[in-house]
Amino acid sequence: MTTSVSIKAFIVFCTLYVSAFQLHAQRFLIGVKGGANFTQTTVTNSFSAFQYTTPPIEDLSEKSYMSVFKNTPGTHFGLSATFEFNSILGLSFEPAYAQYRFGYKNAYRWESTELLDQVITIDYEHQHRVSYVELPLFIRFSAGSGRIAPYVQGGGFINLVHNASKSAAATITDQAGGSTEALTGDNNDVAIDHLMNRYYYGLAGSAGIAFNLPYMRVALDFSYRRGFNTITDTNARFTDVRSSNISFDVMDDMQLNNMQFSLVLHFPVNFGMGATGNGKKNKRYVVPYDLRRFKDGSKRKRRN
Amino acid sequence: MKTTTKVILNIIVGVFLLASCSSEEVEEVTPENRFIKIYNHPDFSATHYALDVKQTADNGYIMLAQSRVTESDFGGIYLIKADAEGNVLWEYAADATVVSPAPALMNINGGYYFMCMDNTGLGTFLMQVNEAGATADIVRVYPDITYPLHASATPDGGILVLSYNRDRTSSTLSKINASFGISWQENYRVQEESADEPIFDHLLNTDKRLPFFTGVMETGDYFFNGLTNFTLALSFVDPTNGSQQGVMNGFRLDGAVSAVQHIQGSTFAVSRYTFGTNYILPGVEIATDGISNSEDLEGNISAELATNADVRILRTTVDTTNLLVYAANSKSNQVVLYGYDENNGELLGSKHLGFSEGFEVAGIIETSDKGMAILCTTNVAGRFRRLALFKISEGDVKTLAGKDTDS
Repeated sequence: MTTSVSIKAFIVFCTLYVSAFQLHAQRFLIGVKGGANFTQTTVTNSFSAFQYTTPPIEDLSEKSYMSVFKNTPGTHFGLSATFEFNSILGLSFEPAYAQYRFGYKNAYRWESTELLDQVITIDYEHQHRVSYVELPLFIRFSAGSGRIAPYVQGGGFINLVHNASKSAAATITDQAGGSTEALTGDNNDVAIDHLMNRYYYGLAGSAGIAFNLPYMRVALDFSYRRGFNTITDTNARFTDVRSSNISFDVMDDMQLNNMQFSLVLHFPVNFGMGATGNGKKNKRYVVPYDLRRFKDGSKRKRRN
Repeated sequence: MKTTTKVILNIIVGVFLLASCSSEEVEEVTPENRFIKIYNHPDFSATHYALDVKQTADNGYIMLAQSRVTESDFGGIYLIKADAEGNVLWEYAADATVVSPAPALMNINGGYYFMCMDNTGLGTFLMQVNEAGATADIVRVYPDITYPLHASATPDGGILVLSYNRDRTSSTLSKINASFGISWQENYRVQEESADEPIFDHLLNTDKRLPFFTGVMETGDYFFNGLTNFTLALSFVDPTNGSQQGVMNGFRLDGAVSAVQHIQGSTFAVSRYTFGTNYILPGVEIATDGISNSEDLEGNISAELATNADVRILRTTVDTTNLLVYAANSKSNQVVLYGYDENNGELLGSKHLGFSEGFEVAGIIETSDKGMAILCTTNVAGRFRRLALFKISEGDVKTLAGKDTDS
């Protein structure tokens, strides 16, 4: 309930903030962004439908989550709207569609106490793909308004789950069945939307370098999102009958930390920001002053 | 532009607020009220076959199972004690002197008992689960009761035991009194020449296990499902001496009653099978003092159930609905729960348990939190027979009873 209220308040806050500052922005840039992201998992509570009644010689069943850069990279793309109050302070809203990917490995081994060659080992590689609609809002600090302008951003985000799926690939070493090598087993891919929390929220920060070019700004951006709530729906954990299958199992309580590397293309928009002199606001696109300055500067250099 | 931007922003906000405002009241799930536990064992040679489950005073669970032992062709005794979340507290595998545990696990005066067989003398032991010692102790020996098949507690603190007497080629019903002495024994002759064969197939798990069971009606009369004459038949007996009052014959081993729950008077909830086809009869009249045949009972054909499916029936009340829950093996290797209205026989809801690795129902009980626990046998990784315990919540049971809940 508290979470729900917080989320609503955040959304309202974002909207009002954006609406209010747009009117007074000195510069408004809108653009697109896209790139790759890497996800790191932080497990807060581990769960499994499978439990040993007698501890094995070596317990391989514990879920071993992959480190951030060993996870398959996900992708994201979206929009970026930046309102700059002056050459230092701004506000950036960057809605995007992002796929987070993470995985873990575990294995089970059964060994006979009667015959030594009766051994079977099954290794599982579990991969998760969670697609979010991201709604991050940043306060932006730029280092000046020159041709190259480094910047940092800090803020929060709310992600809404669009879809989620999980695949489990098995590799079987069946010595009891006459195999000495690992053989490829089943690879199942199933939807897990219904096992996920609808919202995911946390703090976000980013840093980057912006290149102010004539008519556009190009930025290389690195952002980091640290989630605060678990991505899994604890009420739904044992509702899926597939959890009773050893290759499926149940999801842990976990938080995701996501690193995003993005290319951002910003296009300045200057509607309504400059007076035409006849008492009416512009209805046509006008190149912002400082960007036009770079363009004029380039022309002057060429003339010289 | 300002107006356009505002409109777009307001639409976006509206959509998100709408999405965030939908407040579904969902049942709170705790680790105790809904879980799935598969009790894996790392021994390649281990085989566990679930028999019955009971909830203990600490809200945990005791599970009785049969396990493979190298010293006997009969299965050994295997117990698991789990806490309220289904986590294993201890397991116990008896040595091969005591074998062939018979369902069911009985709660008598707060203690948990079961019957099993002497591997040498083939007599019957009454065993008590020793929770403190994480073991099971022999309470009484019954040399005259051989090949125990099923046992159930009676309201007077006694036990009703169905067994097989190989020398007499007969099914035997024994009434054990509250002091665990034998009150009476009655033999029911099996006319079939090869009667031993299905009994041993059942006990050794070499073929389909047969639905042997015993029980007590509300009137205090006893009944049992066992081999009599030429068929697997449901017999109704006098509780004072075991004399047969009525019988519902089957068709040899190919047609029989697979589960019974007495409702009231001569009304029973029944499931039966005939040559692989299963019938569910949520309310049927049976003449307990006459001769009838299960083949004549009409009911709902359940095309979903496995051939000659194992079935368990639980009677409970959800709000004001008297509910009959049928738990049975399905053709899709799941366990399916059907909720029937006891009053009119209407199917109110269903729920499937398990996925792809094969699940067979062994026991279903109502739990203290108004949920249910279902004990099954499964094949972990499609290979190893192990125990599986499904705990469903009160909300799940309400859904089974056709009540609208978001669980």
